[in-house]
Amino acid sequence: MDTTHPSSRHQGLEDLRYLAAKCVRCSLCKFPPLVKVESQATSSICPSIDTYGFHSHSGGGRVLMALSVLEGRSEITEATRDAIYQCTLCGGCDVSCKYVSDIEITEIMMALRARSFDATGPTDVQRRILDNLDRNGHPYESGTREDCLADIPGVRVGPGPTILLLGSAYAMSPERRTTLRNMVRLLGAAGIDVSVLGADEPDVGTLALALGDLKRFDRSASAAIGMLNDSGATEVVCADSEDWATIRAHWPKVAELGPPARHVVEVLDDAVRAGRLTLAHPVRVRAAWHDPCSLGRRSEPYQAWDGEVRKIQGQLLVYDPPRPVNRGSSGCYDPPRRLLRAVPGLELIELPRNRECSYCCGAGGGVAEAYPELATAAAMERQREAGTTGAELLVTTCPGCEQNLGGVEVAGVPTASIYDVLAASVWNQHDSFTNGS
Amino acid sequence: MSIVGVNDKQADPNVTDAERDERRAEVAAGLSRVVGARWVATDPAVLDTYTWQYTAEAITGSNWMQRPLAVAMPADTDEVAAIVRLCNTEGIQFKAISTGFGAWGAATEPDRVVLLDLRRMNRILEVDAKNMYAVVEPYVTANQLQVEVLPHGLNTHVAGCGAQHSVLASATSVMGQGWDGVSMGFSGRNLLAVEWVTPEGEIVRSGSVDASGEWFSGDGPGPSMRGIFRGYAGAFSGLGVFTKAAVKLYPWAGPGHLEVTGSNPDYMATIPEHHVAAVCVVDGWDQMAELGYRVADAEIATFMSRNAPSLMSGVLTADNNTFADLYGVPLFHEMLYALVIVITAESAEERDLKVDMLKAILSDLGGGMLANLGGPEEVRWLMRAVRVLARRIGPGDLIRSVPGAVRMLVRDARRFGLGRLSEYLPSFMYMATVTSGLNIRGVFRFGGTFWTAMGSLVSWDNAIHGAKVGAQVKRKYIDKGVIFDDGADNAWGGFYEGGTYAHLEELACYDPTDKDAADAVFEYVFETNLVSIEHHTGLPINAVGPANSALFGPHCSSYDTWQDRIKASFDPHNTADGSFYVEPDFTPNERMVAGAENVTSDRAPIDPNAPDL
Ligand SMILES: Cc1cc2nc3c(=O)[nH]c(=O)nc-3n(C[C@H](O)[C@H](O)[C@H](O)COP(=O)(O)OP(=O)(O)OC[C@H]3O[C@@H](n4cnc5c(N)ncnc54)[C@H](O)[C@@H]3O)c2cc1C
Ligand code: SF4
Ligand code: SF4
Repeated sequence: MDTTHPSSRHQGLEDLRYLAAKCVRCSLCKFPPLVKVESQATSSICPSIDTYGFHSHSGGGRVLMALSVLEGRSEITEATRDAIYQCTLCGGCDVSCKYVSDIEITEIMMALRARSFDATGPTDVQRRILDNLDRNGHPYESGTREDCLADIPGVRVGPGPTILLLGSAYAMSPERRTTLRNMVRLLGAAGIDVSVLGADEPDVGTLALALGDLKRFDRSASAAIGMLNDSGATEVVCADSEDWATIRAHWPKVAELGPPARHVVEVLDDAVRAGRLTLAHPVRVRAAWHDPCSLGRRSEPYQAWDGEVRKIQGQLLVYDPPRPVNRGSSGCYDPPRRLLRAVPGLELIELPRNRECSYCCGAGGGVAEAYPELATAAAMERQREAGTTGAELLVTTCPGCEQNLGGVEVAGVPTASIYDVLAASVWNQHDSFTNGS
Repeated sequence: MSIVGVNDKQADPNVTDAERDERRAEVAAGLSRVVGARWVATDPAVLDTYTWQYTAEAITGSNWMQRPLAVAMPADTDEVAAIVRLCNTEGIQFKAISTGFGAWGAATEPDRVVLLDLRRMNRILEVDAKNMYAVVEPYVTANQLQVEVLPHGLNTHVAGCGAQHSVLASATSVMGQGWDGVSMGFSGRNLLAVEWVTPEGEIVRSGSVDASGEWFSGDGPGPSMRGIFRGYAGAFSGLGVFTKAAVKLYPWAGPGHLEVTGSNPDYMATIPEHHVAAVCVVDGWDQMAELGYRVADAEIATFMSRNAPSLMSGVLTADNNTFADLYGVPLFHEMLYALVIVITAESAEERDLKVDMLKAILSDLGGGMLANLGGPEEVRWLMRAVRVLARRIGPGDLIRSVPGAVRMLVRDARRFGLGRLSEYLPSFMYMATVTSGLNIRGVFRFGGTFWTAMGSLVSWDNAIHGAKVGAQVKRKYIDKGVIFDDGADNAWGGFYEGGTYAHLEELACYDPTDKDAADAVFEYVFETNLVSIEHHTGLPINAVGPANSALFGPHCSSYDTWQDRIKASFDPHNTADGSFYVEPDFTPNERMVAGAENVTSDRAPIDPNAPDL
């Protein structure tokens, strides 16, 4: 374990060195697994290298920067720091490398961020985010949970059997309130008795983790887990996909969450399949589904491994015991698709890059805040892809994706949240999704 | 002598760090004027992402090559030419890379080389379906070109390093062996016209494009320069930068898009209706030689390659633990004399005819096959293959194979579903062969890396002869525990141009962070180079770089003297980094000399008439 954070199970760069050293610089992490590539236009999986170009801006490149830093060949300069953080932590590279090898690129990139954070502190933009977290309990300049709750009439505040974690991205953004209202109404219509924690809702730690501030993340995560464990809730439902990835893949490094957790789309999918929620009204639209990285490949559950690498038959490296590897394929992919297919009149279109090979919208990893040029370039690329499919609507479920994809105009495909589309079908509320924002 | 005959150089001790940084800043300013500051990198950690390289440990003794002075990303030919001229003016060197996969894409002298990362030049400029060629920029990968030309009923040659390689780099500058060579040739031979920035910064267009503006021919009416700037192995950027190239395309009797289902890491291709993927099993090197010749003569294979059992098992599995389990099954372990053959056809009649010819050849040779033939025929030919293998391993090992085989079937049924179990092996082989998207699995994962040896472009018989003697050298190193024990046989290779020539490389897998292994592999390759001369197996695949040219030149028409003259004529100031091609003032470094002494004092015994493995 890295000496910096002895209390939790984050792996430090030193712990991950044996995997980093396996990089052969083959560049496969710049592309989806090659057998899945359909056209040159959709042959990249990495928004970072698409925007900045240098090898350092690929998953493999960051693995090599980590080795350079580890071996004391280089210091983390301002340029290095930019190269480290100009990445959405989308995990596309991780999937592709693990088609042929087993390097934990995402873990290495996160450990590199932690090393950078410890060595050089945050950038100015990152400092503002962290100040906001301290001051406001969320990463934004303004907004309160009370304001948000005022916009969601009827929602129960306080402990209850099913706690809905709203997160901050939906809650603090007045433009996303319609979506949040629809989500809560849908859960209600499905007969799920949810309550929210209101002003007490803790920060899950997503941005602190992305920025490499592991001490803060550990504090936030352990406070949030403690509160939920003590709340008496029998289930936690997560509204924000970014937080969902944090809860599934990183909270277990800090402490165990008692009540089982599910994402809202999983809950609604179950409700529709069980006949507790009826999607009655047709929504006649050709809709493409954008898999958020956080709901998909990054939400695979954390799998601890405590073993050793052994050499057999001379130089064959094996793990003892076998090391479980997340390869992106058991993220949450089918529930949103089933939900959309259940909407009468809706024609579901697959984007060429889908499921574990999805192309990131560009908003994650602290990028939307710190490197808007990357966020915009990625969103435009994804929108262009949607445009080639004949889709009339790009549907997703992640406040970051909704905001970022909805913020660019290249292919004339508006973005909508899945909750707005479902609300349209349940309540014949046709204008609710024409523009998700 | 080094494994690639390449010298690792040290920094000039008379230059201080401050002077070096000042120089770097000056050059970066010049580069920024050409490409814009955002496309120039000088940060040490960023530069190190161009320094860590596959097989570096065999050249420098560490995983790092030398750090370049800067990396620049030009957008077009004019910018490339301007950078090359700047390097001439500044008295520094340049090297172009496309993906930059391998030590040859890195600098060998610290802080003196500007790397041109050509990633921004990534357009497919033209697909001329009627005349069957494509014009590409440097960063178009084989995978990208393939998916774009399949809908035109065309396909492109892919090199064995995997389809992420640059089509242009392979065609103009480095090697060109691949699994499809029997029908789609060798990269260097597929090269038609080029646009070339010479080491002095002149822009030259060669081949038909020079005379007619059309890119259809490398041999006129414009000048044919291929032999000069490319030759057998390519100049590894030692003769300038190629900025556009036209390559031949070949007919593709298949769908415009391969259907691939499943999820990572268990994707599975649906074999198109009139295609057949077969692992054809015979017993012994001689029979495998015969099989290769006959299938090539019959012109029925679109893809044909020999993959050692460890390589095949590596491709089929997603991790080393599972691999070890599969490879430990004697039935698979001993699938030594097998060729993977993919038949493509326009119609059922054509497919049936080709399959009948394959069956006739295999019947003659007493072989069998594991192929998507469907129904009882599939089972019949599978049983024949099992019989061949059972004869090899004997009843004891056959019985011992059962638990492992059952484990594999159960595992694969879970991965792909019971219904697709019979499809799985041919489908995997088809997908791996046609897309070249899985190659890395078969070699890197075992120990972390591998290096190759032998592998000349020779007759198929001679390639097999090379594999036999190469295996005997390899056994010595396996016995020392410094390379993975793959039964001493990891000979991978293919056939070219209808089988008129072929190659078999003897791969050696090892842990690159293990110093003993890295040193030993250094020596393994040197020893196989000596064996190549002594046993007449042709110019090995790694016979590049000045030390190897000196070693092999006298045995091969003194090609090294011609290379020296070409280099001197086109690059009088030695501005193009020719460390993997020609270096005017080359002297072997200490590591090379020590390695050579070790090898010559302790040679592996070779029996040229050794029986089968
Ligand atoms: C693991 C591994 C396995 C391999 N197996 C095979 C094989 O089976 N068959 C085979 O043919 N090759 C093989 N190679 C070599 C490989 O063919 C080349 O590395 C590859 O085809 C070239 O594409 P690239 O994008 O990787 O080129 P790069 O790695 O970018 O370049 C390869 C060489 O060409 C030079 N170069 C690149 N672009 C230009 C340009 N525009 N102008 C001038 N020079 C340039 C570079 O300086 C470098 O020396 C293997 C390489 C590796 C690392
Ligand atoms: S991280 Fe993996 S896919 Fe990327 S370059 Fe390294 S080995 Fe290749
Ligand atoms: S996480 Fe995403 S943006 Fe970052 S390097 Fe990997 S693929 Fe690129």
